[in-house]
Amino acid sequence: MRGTLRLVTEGVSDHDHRSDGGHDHGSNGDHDHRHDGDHADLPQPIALRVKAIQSLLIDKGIVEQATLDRIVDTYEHRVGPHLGATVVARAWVDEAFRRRLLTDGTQAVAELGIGGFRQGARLVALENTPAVHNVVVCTLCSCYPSWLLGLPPIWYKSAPYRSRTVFEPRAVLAEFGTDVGDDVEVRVWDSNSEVRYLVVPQRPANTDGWTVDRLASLVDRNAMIGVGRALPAGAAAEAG
Amino acid sequence: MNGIHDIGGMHGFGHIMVEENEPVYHAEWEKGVQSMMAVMLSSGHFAVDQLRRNIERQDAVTYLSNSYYENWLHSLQQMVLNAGFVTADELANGHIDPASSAGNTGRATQWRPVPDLPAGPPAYGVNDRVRAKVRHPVEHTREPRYVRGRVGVVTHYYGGEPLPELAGEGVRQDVHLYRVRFEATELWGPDAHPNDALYIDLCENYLEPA
Repeated sequence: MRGTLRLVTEGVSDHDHRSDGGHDHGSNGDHDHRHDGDHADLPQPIALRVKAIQSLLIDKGIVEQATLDRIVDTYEHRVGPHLGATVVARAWVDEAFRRRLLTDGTQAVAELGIGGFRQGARLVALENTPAVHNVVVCTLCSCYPSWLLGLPPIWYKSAPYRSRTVFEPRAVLAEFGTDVGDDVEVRVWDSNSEVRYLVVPQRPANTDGWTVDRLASLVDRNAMIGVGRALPAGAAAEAG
Repeated sequence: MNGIHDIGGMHGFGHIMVEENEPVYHAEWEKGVQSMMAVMLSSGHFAVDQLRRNIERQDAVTYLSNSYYENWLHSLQQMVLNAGFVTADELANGHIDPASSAGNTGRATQWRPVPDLPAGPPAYGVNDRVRAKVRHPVEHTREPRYVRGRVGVVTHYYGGEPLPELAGEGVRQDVHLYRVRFEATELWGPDAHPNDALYIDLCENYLEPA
């Protein structure tokens, strides 16, 4: 199966491919070896391989450049943790919305104008309480509510997070600075189906009477994955 | 399949590395891969399980050596080739072969946007005790190894979802989907924290009465 898509290239070394493509591994991203393809051939630099597919699909009318640009713009500028934060903050201030969110997350976020790119995906909201702490992982790949929180961070897609969270969630939480008492139940959600999960963190103390926007500034991505908590009230000053 | 992607509970991958101020994309080519894949999936031509299936079928060393979007690129290439959108020659040459008829979408599945109701009533209800079947399918599956043979409790019934085993091959058959809770001690033994639990969504095909 591998090696069937080699492209003939000129003037670009394999080294360029590696330095371009290895960012998911953390520190320096270097690959010391590669295993795809026939070593007798010069591997195609990854950027050119992508460009070749893209040109073909556009020329054949299967995709449009404008559509691709719109998707990139959406993830770079429109969707992201701020959307999820608004949902969480709304649930904190609006009891009826909170109940709808916990009953049918897909429907509740649709009320706020947030819809999925892919139909058929379900959203389930998980509420943290003094007795229960929820944390989300996808052990098999990288499932994530990207239409609500943006594309997932590399650590969420990484082997250490995926392998360890189901086995030793408290140790993982501690690495994120989140200590959970023995009396608190930790619920790990392995996101293996087309259901997506949003953690609703506990509302921080001393935030009575705050607006949704101000409360949302306390809710970051880690809190909505469940590896962290909402920021304390004092953090809102600089966040606005 | 029992692929390298099925890593829940494995040891040896080290600490979690968090990149500060991480950008949405790390290279221009990642934008192309991610957006093309988004179109392929949202257009209804492919199931997300086909994306996963192609990634899982790489050899283990390649899977681990590749960056995330390198794995996606591999899958994207397989998808457009298998669907007949492009030919291998066209990919190799980078331009359309006028003699080729590739590009018609006849070989791609048209996925309906929402799950169908599965045939027959659900076999389990909330609070039923179930065992995740011990099975080692060679095809794509979403029953990870670490739950196989373990007993849990159904906490929710969702309705229908395409069976991943078939969806990975581009075939749609919707089955009942359940949320199952496993105690950490059931999964990992007596050393697990007594106050930890694991929730996972499992197709009826993956379950048997316990």
